Amino acid sequence: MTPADSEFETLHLARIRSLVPAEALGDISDLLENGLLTVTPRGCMLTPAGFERHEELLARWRNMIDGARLATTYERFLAVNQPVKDLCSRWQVEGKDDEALFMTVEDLSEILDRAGSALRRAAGVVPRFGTYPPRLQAALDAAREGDGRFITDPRVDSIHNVWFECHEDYLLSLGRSREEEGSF
Amino acid sequence: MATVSGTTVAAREAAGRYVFAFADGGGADTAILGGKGAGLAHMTSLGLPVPPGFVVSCRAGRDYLLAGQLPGEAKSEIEAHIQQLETAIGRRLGDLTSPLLVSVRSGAPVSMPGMMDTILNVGLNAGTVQALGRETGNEDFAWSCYERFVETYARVVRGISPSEIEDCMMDLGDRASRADVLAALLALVEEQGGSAVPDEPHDQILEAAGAVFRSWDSPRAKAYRRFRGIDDELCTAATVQAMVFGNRGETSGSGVAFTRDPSSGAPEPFGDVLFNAQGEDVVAGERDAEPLSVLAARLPDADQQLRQALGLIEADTRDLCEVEFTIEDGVLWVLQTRVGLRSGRAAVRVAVALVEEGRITIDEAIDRITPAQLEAAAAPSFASEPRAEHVIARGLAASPGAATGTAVFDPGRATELAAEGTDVILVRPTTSPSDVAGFIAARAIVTGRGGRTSHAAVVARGMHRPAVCGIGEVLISEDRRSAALAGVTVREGDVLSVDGDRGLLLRAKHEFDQPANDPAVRTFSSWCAERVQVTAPSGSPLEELRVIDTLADLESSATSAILDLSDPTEVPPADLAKALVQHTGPAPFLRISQKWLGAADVRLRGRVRGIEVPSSATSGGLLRATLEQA
Repeated sequence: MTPADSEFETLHLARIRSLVPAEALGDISDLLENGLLTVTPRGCMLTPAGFERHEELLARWRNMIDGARLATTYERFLAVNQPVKDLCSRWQVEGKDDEALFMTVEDLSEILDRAGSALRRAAGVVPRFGTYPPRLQAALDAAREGDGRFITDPRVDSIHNVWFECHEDYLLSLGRSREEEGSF
Repeated sequence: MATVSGTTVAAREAAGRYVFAFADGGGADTAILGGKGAGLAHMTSLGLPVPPGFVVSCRAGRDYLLAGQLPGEAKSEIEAHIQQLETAIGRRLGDLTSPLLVSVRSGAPVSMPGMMDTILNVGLNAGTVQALGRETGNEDFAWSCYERFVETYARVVRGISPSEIEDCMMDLGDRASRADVLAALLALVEEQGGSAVPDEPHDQILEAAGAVFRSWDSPRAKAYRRFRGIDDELCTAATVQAMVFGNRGETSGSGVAFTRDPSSGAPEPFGDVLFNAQGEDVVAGERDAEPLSVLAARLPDADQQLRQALGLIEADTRDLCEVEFTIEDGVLWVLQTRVGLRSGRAAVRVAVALVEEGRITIDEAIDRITPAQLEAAAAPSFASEPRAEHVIARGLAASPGAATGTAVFDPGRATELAAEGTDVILVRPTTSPSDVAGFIAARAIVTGRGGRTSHAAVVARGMHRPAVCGIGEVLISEDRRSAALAGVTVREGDVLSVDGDRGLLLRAKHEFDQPANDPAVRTFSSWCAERVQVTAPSGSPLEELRVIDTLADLESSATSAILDLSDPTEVPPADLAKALVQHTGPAPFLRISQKWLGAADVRLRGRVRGIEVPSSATSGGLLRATLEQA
């Protein structure tokens, strides 16, 4: 990975997650020095300059990847996007007991299995997409162990959080917006 | 037993029958027909317009799993019932003009929701798909039904894994036509699934019923049975039912109706209808549904049928119900009914109304209300429907509650201002993960696009923030200090109110309603108070209970009473209930000092369920008991 690649990946992660613990970003001393990142008590975030720099690197990066192949996997990701959101929503509205958790985990595991196929292929185009399946699996495992926060709680690395980030990564990587595809 | 036609389902089963029409009679034959089948038979017996069908019994399922095939008698009974079904609905399987399509569903004697399989659109093939396209005037819809049918067939009937199907789809690339996709799926079934998907609808039905029975032994269903301690020997039934289509033109439609308003509890039918659409279109929210009230003018017969059905359903369940319906060429069909989800406020109001209408007892009413609902009923809301000039925009009531604060359009800015102690209302066009930090900081959330299942709604409910979604276009200025919200200009710092119960974004601060002002909540609380009983451990007279303070609950904003039990005699036991209600309002949380609880065997009897260890945020080491029936 060239320094520019690594700069892009770091800024990209900060863009997607908004607030990232510094230790998740590796060596960021240059980025802090150049005023692209700023440290807050709750984590690192992009400065307006960092935002602009990311846009610039992103546009350049998009020209280097096989966008059409990535887009094919995105179509399959989108096909299960609504069911995942519906299950998350159902969990919040109806589910608070062990049985609801059991069923939510069962239903999600089947859908995430489907999404896994798409994400593995996406990782063949953009390796970063390979980071999502293990995180989804870890959240699913934690939920299966009985910790319901790992379904939708925004404050842990929950399935909804990871899914949401993965969706955002796709949108940024493909240069699309939620508005134009009607997916919120 | 008298004549053959008067014979019960149970007697017929005892005589060797495997298959029963919905119209064969209701009765509680869940053990024979499974929950789904018995439910449809029950609805049919109430006089509801249920699409006709029949049930292949649980016993047939057990025999299938033992022998690996359906008993010969079961097959011929199925054939006979298919003929009856064709006559009842006036369509025939495989017909190239108006084909009959059916669903084949699972349904065990014990509820195992979503654990077993269902196959829709059985009866489609290269010929009938064209007829469906002509009849609905929508070729795309017909082919997508066919595609989903073949995909389900591959997975459920032939056991091809979802990831194999996904790989097959992605190998096609994204320029594949509908015909390519279908051809690929059909080829996959033929290569990986033993043989081709049968064209003959009768064969499809038999194979689908077998697959439904086999799904009883899927790993998922087995895991669920272990979890719930359900007997492995029960088996599922297979329900075959005519499919109806709400997208056959402008006199067709689909919708969801509640027997009462699930948000406010008002005793009026409530719901959405979408003309010329299937049920999933209503749920997906991609097209705007219209309120149920338009039905009276557009399809008065169907409206009349629906009102009658809602009345029958509520009289039967004695509770607020949610009903899925389809109107096909002006004729109403009831697809599904269930007890409806409702807001905390509606739960209390409906329970009180049902008591007042003489439908349920006070004890039933109290048993129906969960602590969470009572808590929600006691959460602040805005006093009354605001004046029209205050309404900036209307959207979806995505997360309940009410909040007031200053308008902010940037998540980072929201975090900054909140850190300075400002109450912030965050308004965004849509949401992305990078907005979540701003969500945490905000008192309430508003989005321009997205429905009740949008990311914003999910996150807001997860954090108990009121939210209104889908208010219309949100255009934020370059400097992010002002925005046009559905055409109305709002600047950062303007005071806004968000009404997550009514789905309103309002200008200015509005008066909160104290929950005690809701007569239903007051009535309900008085019923609860009459039933509060607290028993102290032996040797600790109840007289030691003393209300020393009240405390706003940090999470719920309900008020709690702190009872100090170590210091003797201030509140006589007879007054305890009164004191509790007085101090805590309608959501009585009893906080009892840690010392007292730790020291002895505390038993809170009567309307007390569970004692929760509070979060670290609760000072003073207090435990909380939620008062309700033990």
